[in-house]
Amino acid sequence: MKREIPIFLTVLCGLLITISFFAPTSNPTAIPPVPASPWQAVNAELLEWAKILFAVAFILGIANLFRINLKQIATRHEDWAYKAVLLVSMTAFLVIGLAEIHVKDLPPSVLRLLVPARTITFVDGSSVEGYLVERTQVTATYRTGAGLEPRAFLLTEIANDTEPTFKLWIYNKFFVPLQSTMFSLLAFYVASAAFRAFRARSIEATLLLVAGCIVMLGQVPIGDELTGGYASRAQAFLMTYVTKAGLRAIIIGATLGGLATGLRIVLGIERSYLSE
Amino acid sequence: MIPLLLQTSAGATAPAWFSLDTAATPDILGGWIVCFLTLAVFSFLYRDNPFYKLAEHLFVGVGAAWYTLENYETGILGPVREYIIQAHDKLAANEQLLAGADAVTGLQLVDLGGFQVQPGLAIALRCVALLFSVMLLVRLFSRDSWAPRWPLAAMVGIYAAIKMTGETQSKLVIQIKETMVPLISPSAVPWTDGVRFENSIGFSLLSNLVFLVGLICVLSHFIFTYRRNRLLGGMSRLGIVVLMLTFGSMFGFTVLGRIALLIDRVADLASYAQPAYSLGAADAAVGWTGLFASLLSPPVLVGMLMIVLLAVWATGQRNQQARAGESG
Amino acid sequence: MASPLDIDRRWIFLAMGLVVVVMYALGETETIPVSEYVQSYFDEIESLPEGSIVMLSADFDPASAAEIEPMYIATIHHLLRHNLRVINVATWPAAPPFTQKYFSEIAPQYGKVYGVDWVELGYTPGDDVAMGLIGQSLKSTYSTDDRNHSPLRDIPLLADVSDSFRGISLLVSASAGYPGILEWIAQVGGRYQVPVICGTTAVQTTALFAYYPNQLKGFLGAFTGATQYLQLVGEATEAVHEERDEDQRRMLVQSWSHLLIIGLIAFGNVAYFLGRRRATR
Repeated sequence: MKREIPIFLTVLCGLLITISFFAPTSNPTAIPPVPASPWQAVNAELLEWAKILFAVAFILGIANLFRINLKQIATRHEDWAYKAVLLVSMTAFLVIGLAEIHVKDLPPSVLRLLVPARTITFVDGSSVEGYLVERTQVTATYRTGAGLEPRAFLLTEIANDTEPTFKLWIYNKFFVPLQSTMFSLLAFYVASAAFRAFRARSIEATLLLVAGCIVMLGQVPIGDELTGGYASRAQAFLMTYVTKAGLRAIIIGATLGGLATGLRIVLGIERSYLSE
Repeated sequence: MIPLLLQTSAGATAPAWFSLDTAATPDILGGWIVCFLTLAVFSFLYRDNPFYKLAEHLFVGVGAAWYTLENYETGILGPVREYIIQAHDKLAANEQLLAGADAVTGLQLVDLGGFQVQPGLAIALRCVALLFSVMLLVRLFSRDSWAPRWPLAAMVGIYAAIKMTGETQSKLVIQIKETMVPLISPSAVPWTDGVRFENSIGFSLLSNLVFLVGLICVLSHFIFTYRRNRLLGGMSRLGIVVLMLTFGSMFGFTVLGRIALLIDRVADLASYAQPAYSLGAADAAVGWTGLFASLLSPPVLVGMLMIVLLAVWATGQRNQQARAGESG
Repeated sequence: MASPLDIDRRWIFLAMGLVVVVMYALGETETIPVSEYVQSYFDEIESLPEGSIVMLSADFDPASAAEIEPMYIATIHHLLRHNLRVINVATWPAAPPFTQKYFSEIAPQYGKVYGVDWVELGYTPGDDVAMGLIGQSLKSTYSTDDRNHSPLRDIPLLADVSDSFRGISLLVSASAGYPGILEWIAQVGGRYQVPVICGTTAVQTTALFAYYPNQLKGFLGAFTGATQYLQLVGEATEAVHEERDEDQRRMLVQSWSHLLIIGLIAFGNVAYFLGRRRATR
């Protein structure tokens, strides 16, 4: 039963999604109108399950990250101090982010501590501090006052509303520069590889390098200036006919393989994902 | 041509020391942090060092938290908590309606992919997802448990089916269909004066032949279930030529992309080299005074400090290794 | 005699860094000719009647923002200037802040009202699954919008959209990889017969030639595509001139960096073959 039930679930979910693909979908503008089909609900619900499980997998991942790093800190692993920085930054950001997400639910003392309040300025010149709960086309509901009770105001009463957010500040000042700089390091390694590793040792390697150089020259204006306008034309021909041929063949081949594997999984023949 | 460091910073609103308002000009404290982190990552180009390690671990911590927050809010709170609460409200409203009236009209239903379902059924189905989520989390406590396999199996089935059905059409059927086009494009014209060679009939024929032959040869290269005779071997060789040209053009684009990322980082650092962010004159300064103010700006100052500290650290490391070598 | 190939790679890093910093500091700009794919992207938006609804999907993160951001900004300007209504979604969790920032800055310039002219629905997890859900039923995929947390039934723009992508005239994806344009084409473009265009990174650009022009009506490939598009949009929109000038400035840096790479390849191969000939003697 340990193997059978998971295989059954895979086959059931896979077949239901596949059948839903072929089932007619509602079309009120058709003549005659096509009513909604239960298969739409089946498809949507299964996709929602996948979406929820996808998100839960992140919780699993972060919990695992906590566990591994805590263990390394406890055993004074090399670089344990950096692991502590990792955990502290992750925890702090999680707490701040969760507080901003749960503005509606948090008790006032916690909310004031963790989330910066907005300053809502009214057309009569008065202002109040609060936390946005919801805004519609007509009203905006804020938690305001000593007890941070929800209160709705008409949008026509509100002149301005600041939007301070610690979560986005951390995102913009930490995450953005860190991630973009990490990837920009590759430019240096491409340059290094160009000098040390890219050798025209065979005809195939030479073709690869020549094609690369044509593209590099064709994509920038200086290429046309140096080659009398032929770099971009050569690059256009290379991309539109040769590269397209190669990539289309790869796409067709890979999709045939993917189709075969997908069918095997949906029919319960492929079981390697059970990883026993 | 105005060298960057001598440009004015006039026109922009003066930045505050610290501001959580995303609409405002980037704050000064944030500018120093961005420059420090950017240069800390770049310091890896010298060698692995404490600045880089700090930046790397901060990146993992902040990145993991961000991704978890976004997925929690949109993948769990919305589809589970909010959905069940709204469905429950509808169920309660329907029960009140049913308790009072004889006719069953005005009942509220839940929209599920365009089909209306009873709130009770909607809640029950969503609770299955909740149960699967709990079963998945069991993996935290027991690696060998059978419980996580059920939700994983469901996910595998769903993803396999959705990939299979979607991609077969776009990546197989339509790709083959679009290959079966006339060799001479309908818009091609005879090559005469004033007509570009690329618009001519000859070019159209030649290039479409190159495409078609190239495609067939690459496909034939991937046939492994038939003995390679001279014809198939020859076609396969030609297929390899096409593949090498393809990979070469992919390499060319990769270089383009990576360098664009580097230029963006340099531009970002340059934006903080303005006098407004420097420890020197905070007012908009022009000319050589501006140049001096830029030398006290975050990227320059942090960069110089980092170079000095790295030099000290590297010397310390070398001495330590030399001592270890002597005693060993 | 030490071979030039034994040079410490940090000197190459330094050369790369110097070329970029020096050429950027010089501040000169370069105009580039517009390619067919970029023109098609532009024309596809221009051809839509005013008031049409467009779905703009943010499928990128800070790592790819260098290439995607300019095209994203230009696209928002183009869509709003042309009085198209925009539904923004995201399939990458790091994308929504970019959307919030740029719509907040750009929409007021055209007098656009949130909820009427544009709506930000935010990120939804699941990759292909998310796209499948959005295609099948946008309103059951999202319960509230991302900016104001208001229920979708209270958003006027969404009243004109129904299931199976009905009501949406064009899908635009700012795509950095997976999930992105290829998945949109598979899950939505072909299935619901909706035209698709995209802006993408250099790495993904090569794959898109196989989909153009039938499955993909036009695309902006890499940073050069973004610059070309900014030039086109900038002809009628002064607000993008600063971004366009910045991108044209970066084109010069890109040009010289490419020459450096080609030079390194050539020098490396010459040194290698000379070294081999010396060794065989």
